[in-house]
Amino acid sequence: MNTNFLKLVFLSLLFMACSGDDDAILAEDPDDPNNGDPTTERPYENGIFVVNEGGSEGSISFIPNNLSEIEQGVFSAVNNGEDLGQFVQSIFFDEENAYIIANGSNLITVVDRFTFELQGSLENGLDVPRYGTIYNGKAYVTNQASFSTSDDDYIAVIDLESLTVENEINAGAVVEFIEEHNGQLIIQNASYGMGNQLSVLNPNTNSIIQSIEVGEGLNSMEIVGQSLYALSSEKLVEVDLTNFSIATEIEFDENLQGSANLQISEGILYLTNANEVFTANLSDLAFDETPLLSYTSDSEFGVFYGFLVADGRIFIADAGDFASNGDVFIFDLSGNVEAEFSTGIGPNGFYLN
Amino acid sequence: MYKKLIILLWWITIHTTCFAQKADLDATQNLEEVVITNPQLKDFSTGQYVLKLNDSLRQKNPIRLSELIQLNTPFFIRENGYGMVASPSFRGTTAQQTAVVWNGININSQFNGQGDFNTLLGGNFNRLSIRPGGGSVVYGTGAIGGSVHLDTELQFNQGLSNEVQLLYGEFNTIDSRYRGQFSTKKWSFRWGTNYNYSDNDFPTSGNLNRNTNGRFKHFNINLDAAHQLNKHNLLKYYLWIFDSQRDLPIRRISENRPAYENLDFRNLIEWENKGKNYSSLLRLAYLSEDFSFQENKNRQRKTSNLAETLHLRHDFSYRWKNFKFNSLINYENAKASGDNLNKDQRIVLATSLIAKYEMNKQLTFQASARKEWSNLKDSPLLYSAGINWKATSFYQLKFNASKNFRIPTFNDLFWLNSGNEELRPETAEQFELGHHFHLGKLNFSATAFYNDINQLIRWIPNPNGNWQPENVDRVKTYGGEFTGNYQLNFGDSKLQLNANYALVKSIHQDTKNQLTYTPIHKANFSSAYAINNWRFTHQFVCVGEQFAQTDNNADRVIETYQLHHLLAHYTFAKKPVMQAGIRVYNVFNNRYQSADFRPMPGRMFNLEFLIQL
Repeated sequence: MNTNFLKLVFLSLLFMACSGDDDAILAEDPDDPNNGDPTTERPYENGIFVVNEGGSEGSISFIPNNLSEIEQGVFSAVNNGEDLGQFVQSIFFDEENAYIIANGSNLITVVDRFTFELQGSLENGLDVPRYGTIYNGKAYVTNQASFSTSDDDYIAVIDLESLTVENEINAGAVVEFIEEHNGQLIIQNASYGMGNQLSVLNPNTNSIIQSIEVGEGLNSMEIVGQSLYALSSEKLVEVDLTNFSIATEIEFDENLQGSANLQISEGILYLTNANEVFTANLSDLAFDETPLLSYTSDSEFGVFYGFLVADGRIFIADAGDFASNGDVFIFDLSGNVEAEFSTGIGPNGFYLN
Repeated sequence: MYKKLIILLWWITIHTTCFAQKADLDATQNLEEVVITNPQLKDFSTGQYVLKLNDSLRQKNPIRLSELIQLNTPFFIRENGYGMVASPSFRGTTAQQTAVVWNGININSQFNGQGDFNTLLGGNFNRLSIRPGGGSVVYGTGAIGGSVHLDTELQFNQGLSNEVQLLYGEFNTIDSRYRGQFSTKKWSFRWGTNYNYSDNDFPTSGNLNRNTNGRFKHFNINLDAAHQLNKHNLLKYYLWIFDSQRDLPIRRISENRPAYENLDFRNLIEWENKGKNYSSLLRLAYLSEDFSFQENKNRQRKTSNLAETLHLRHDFSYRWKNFKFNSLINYENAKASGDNLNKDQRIVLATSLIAKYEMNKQLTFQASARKEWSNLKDSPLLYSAGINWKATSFYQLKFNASKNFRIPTFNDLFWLNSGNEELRPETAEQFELGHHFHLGKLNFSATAFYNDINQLIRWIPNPNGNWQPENVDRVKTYGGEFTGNYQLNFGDSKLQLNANYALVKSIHQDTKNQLTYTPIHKANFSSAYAINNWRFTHQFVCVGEQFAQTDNNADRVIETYQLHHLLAHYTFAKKPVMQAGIRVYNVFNNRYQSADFRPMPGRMFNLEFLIQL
């Protein structure tokens, strides 16, 4: 009996020998933390951050201004494999820091904007945070809370010294982008093709003081001088910010209906439609009938998932099937390709540093 | 203290005079290809093979079918965290492409088309069989990768018997099972209940040092009855109630804590009429599934949905000389309602015909076809054909080719603002070729398979970011399955070995990449050694690398993992049977995860007690 038992033990051991390492965890990108420019102490001072929403984990990629390469997973690489949470939505900045919002984790991660070293994080008081901006030493972050209603959407007022939410202001409507103008905070009350208004939050009283309807399917807004341009699926509206009223309204022809991703740079207005970019002069808002550029995408929603015009360049992110790495295309203002990179899952935005 | 109370409660419930039932200590732990009681599965599986997981095997495994199948068959179970939603991936197919059949009725969820193998508890069914490969002609939607059959066999003239099994483990894990049966010459009853709970807060190495918000609680009741009216007529009734509450794990303390509840109610009444050459089986089933989801437990808001399904099914089989025929008519009326679904319904009428010809002792042929009509999209004509060739006493060759399907689910069809009623069924044309050897106490099989799956439904975002299902993908899966078992007797001790391996390629035809969360390799091995009143078992499973992204990015994979579990049981009384045991899960404390960011438990200890009266 004993010998048989030994045989059994031996057999088991044979199988144990096939046992691999004990650290069977998800592979992390073993990026060199000194990527970028190892000679400077501020490796991320001159370049573009790309936000990748991620499937189960979002990430930030970095492209230096000379477009020589892309560094993936910047935050994890600099900070010992730490992660940014689920669904990285956006970044906002102050003089020193970058504030990275992860909407699936109710998390804002604060990093030095030039070194990307972790400075702190905010884990309380957020509920599906989306976008933020800074005014007078405080951060204002939109929160969508429950997906099944917009009644509970709010703006979190964050004390940047203590990184705590000191106030929650109910918005009464869905909230998305937020931008400061002249001491007021302008909020886009529209998201995912639903919603049609803008509203103004007075940061001194922490209350919504007025709102205005600008068009169904409102999807983006840009502020230039005393004007706000709001793009919805059927029209472009210019709002005079001195009295918060509609100054100009351009109804789209059929070929521009369903446009998105409004950008304004150096007096030119850009928007995207299907896989094409159209432009107009800000002075007359007359759109060219031929697109400035187009690119090939097989993704209806992932096409132009991120879009930015700045610094003489057009940045385009394509999210593909949202389950594999997306692509970044960089064009000059005439529509010629300057560079092309593969990035992380669901690239949704660019931020110049 | 709590544990003691539970034991006490169980003692109270069985405090009746009972007939002793002979313990089935010799029950082999090996998977066998066996003669089974489900007549359709037995009679009409030509060209395919059926694995049976017997009761004693189920006694030695956690009650959730996920682990039982993962550890003892070549088939892969995707598990979204320990105790969380688990779905099978037979032969590289998707979660919806395995049919779960309860006493002949397809019970895949109307909502998501899946069977959740962490909520299918052992319960009362005493026959658990798995048939890989196509089975839609008889079992309907989802039988592409295979079908899992949960059957309750009701016996007569067995008197009264009761069985209690209690497992208690770390993280406040309770797996308690009770079942009993009573039968006379004309009447037979089986009843049972299960309670499975765990705090499930095992240590992890992520941002949180424990699995957080992972608690689960499952409660199961079964009641079955049969009455022999006369020599030709038998009435049966089956009831299955399942109630489950699960919190879904989070990765960071700041995340919203979701919770998921479901209540399944399954009722089946069956009238069997048997003559010399024919049998007629009329079944009427009413199934309801109710689930509610809370995206954030701190908010009161919940969304709930209900699916109610009525089946009326008639099977008629007739034997003439060397032929066997079976006709089948199935009427199904399924209604959807709830917070997320349009109030709508699907009606399906299906008919099938099967013919089998036993030419001689060596050769058997079978052919069958099915046609369905629906108030939504009709399904294509399905077929199946198979051959068994018993070439020698120890070798058998099996070949089967079939066309199978998976109809869109309620979520696919009726989800508010997303559902797409224009969806067509997924279809799969497939074949398999199997070699089966029986050499004394050694059984071995090797089966090659090929599936061409078309019109795969995938949810993709429309330009507004609203995700909608479309028939967009085509996937080919192919590979091989190997099963083997061997038994050695030396005097009063016995060694049983069981090994399985599957090689599965599941290739998306646009990208030529392997499907995500579908390992190419999966192997398991178990050995059990019994001597005197002791039994020692070693279970091993190895799951190969899985891709987390559709581009098969090598940096984003679920790494290969190997697990070893050890069990020791001691029987300290035989009349009534009383047994105690210990189970050590993940003996080497390997860190592993079953899905992206779903860490799984390290070493865990469980104590077990079994009493059969």
